[in-house]
Amino acid sequence: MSTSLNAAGVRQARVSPWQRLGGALNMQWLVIGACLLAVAYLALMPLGFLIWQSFFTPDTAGEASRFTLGNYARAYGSTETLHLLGNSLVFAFGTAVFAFGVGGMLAWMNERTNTPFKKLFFALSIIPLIIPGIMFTISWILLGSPKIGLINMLLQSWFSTDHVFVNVYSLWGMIWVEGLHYSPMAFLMMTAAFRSMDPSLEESALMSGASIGQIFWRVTLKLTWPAIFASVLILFVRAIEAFEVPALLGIPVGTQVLTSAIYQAVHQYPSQVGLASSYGTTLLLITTAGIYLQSRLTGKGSKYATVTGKGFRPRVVDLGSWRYVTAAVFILYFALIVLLPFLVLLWSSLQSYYAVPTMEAARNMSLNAYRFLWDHPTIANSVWNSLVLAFGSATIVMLMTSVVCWIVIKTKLPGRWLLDNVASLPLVFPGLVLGLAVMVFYLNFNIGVYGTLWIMLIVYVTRFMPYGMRYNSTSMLQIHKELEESAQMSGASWGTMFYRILLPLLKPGLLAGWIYVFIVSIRELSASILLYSPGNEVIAIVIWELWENGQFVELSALGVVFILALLLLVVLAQYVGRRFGVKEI
Amino acid sequence: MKSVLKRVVVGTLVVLCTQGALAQAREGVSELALYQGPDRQARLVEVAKGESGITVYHTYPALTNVMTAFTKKYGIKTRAWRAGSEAILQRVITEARGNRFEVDIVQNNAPENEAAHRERLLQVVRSPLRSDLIPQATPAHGEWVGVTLDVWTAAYNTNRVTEAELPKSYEDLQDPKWKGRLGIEANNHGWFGTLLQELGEERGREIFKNIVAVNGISARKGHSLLTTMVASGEVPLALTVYNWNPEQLKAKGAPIKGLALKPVIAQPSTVAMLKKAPNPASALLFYDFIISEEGQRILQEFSYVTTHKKLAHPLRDDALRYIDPGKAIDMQNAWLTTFDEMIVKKAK
Repeated sequence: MSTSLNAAGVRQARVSPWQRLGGALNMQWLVIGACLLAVAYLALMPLGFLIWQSFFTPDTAGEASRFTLGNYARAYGSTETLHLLGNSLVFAFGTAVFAFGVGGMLAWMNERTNTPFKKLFFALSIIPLIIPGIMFTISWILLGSPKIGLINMLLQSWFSTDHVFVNVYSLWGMIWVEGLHYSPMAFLMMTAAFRSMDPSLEESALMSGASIGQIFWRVTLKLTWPAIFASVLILFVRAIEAFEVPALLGIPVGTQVLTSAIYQAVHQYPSQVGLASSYGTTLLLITTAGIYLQSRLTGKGSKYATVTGKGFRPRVVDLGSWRYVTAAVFILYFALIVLLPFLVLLWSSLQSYYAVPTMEAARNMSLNAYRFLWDHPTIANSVWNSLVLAFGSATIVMLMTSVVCWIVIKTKLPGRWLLDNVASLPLVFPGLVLGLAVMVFYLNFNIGVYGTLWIMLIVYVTRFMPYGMRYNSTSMLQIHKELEESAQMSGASWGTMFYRILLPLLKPGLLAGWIYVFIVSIRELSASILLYSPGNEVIAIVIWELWENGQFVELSALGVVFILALLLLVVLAQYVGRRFGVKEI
Repeated sequence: MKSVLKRVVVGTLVVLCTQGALAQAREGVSELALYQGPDRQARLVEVAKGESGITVYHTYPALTNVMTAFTKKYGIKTRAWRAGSEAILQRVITEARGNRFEVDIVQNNAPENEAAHRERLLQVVRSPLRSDLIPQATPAHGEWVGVTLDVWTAAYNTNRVTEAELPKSYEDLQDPKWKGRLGIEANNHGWFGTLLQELGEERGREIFKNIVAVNGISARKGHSLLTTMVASGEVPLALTVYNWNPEQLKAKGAPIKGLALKPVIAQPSTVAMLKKAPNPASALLFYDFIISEEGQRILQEFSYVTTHKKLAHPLRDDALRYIDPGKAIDMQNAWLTTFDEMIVKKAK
């Protein structure tokens, strides 16, 4: 193992004293070892729990748990499951393709073209992600329902007809809402990939007389193929695991997906965790297949490496007058996708209950909901806890997975795709099963984390590690091995090489992944709800409580505050970046 | 590395110490809980002085107000953990298996606390105040007590449904004028199972089969969502919301009203004390407080139907039918399947 991993290190030994080699080796193995152990520990524990549980009956005071194959028989013995799985697959595939289309296009326009005002668009592009899932879906019900949807009402009064123009309660509606909600995920990943592109390749294509469409299709897309695959894969798996949109838009019209069955299994007494787990194994297999395919793709050496030792100046494609078209696309996107739901939230936050906008309702506007939030006893503490957790989990996830990705992509370690797979599987553990696994483990292995914020940090890092893997591996693939080799030839230790060469070059992926993990950590609910404790509330719990209490108006106000805070943060970050001359790669 | 080691050692010590203390306290718990002497209250107050407040797991938002009043009266601090009914049950069971005993009081739906009773986690409490409550609130085993009733009523949007066309019974919903106007909560299998029982299994199935075939019923996840959808006009008539849901929105001026279709069905929401409650005296004081007239009045203010005999509520009449919590557990799968097959999967 060590020879293949450290061929460069051994070569270096001939020119350096033995002690120095020892030091470098220690440093390298310490970091790599620690990351490997952490990943294995975090991912294998719940995986073991899930597989173990799937072979057992529920354990109750009246009846002890015993070995059974019944969970699998019950889960896969009926055509019902196939039907649910079929719905899930169609929904997930549609969502992945749609979200990628939207996010990828925005990313290309933002990174590779000279579209006007694009700096502004970065912040706006990730807004859908920050809106809590329930709120985002409900805004779309209020916009696209056949009965009270504003879009339908508006079009119906324009054309004086009662024809239903859009219906959000359908498979297409579900794909639309889920796809839009997660398009920022593809946007962030593709932004990172496009940022590390070598523009000289596009330029040579241009010099050889290719049109912009041809360049995009034959150069840009081809070079970012691993990023595309990774985005679609992770969007697909995430959509299969989605619960809110299918519950709010599918169930009313009798369309159910696999997660409905998982939900129902867990939410009864005795809780059928085993049954839920055996449903979950299908999702594990699908993910494994995806990761394997990805590893085949990325195993083809440095074909996709665009960041090389040669001069590297990112330059954008001049769209000519087409840039006004792309600007128009941006504006249309924001009007439709960001502004419309935002206005719905804003409107409802100013009411005392949701009413279709009329002049009469406009007279009843008040700021009570905002006052309520201001006076709320736990919100300030929850926001702080969420920020600390989000910052912690995003930072740990991105740094840890950067090392793991290095092993997966830059070494020839046999079975390294399995490592990738292990680190990616937590993506599909049903949130509640993951929460339960962690809970059971730390209750029995008492190291004092239960009942504190630490246990939630552990869950968040586990849950979002897979995203870190995909973001980092996409950027890692683009970095040519020659940079690493020349660092080592110049006598840099592995640590120096990693810290001074790789991490800075990984920055686009690291940053994009960090933003993503940060935001989704703030929103995480299903595992948090089992693991938080009095005094350790997070903001997702407050959102859930408001929702359970039927305080829809207050929830809308919170959504509005979220969006404004995010906008402010991004604008501030960009300002600070310009002010202190942080150069973007 | 050192700090991890330290933590493990300290953690183990803490566990050992608390285990020892717990074994000692355990007899104290049941002795206190079963004590019925005239100085019960004084004794509880005395013992509570040496305790450290109480931890409450609950589903009701309004319980916060009861806790505030309790703290004001006794000066005993409360720590609240709120979650959904299933999550609470899950957490109580898992913590007990992991030998962690922090919670004193659990407030949850009757079937969930009945399940906790079956898991042998709850303490029998002989509070003198139990006799002030309706019989459905005080099961023979004495391990939980009903503090309110969750009563399912229908709710309608007053702009979309006129008083004149309101249904008088479930039969009336078979009228085609309800096409595309009905909604239901997607998890109300307990309600449905009990309703079919009350209507007569065959007749009940017949009625609902017709309603679904002729008019369709749209299923919504969660009572809050369903109520919001009624107020916004999306669902003109919802069959199953909790009675306080429309009251809350009506108070804010929303065009929504509750409607009781017979037979009206209710399920107690209950409070229980844990066998291994770390602060038993304070927990018992809270237990007594929430079923006392004083505590019950606070719940009544939030539109809840209480279980106190003195506090009447128009919905708590002789015709009110109750879900049997034990039956709700035993019949769970059968009821779930029936409700899913007849209603949820056919939703439109």
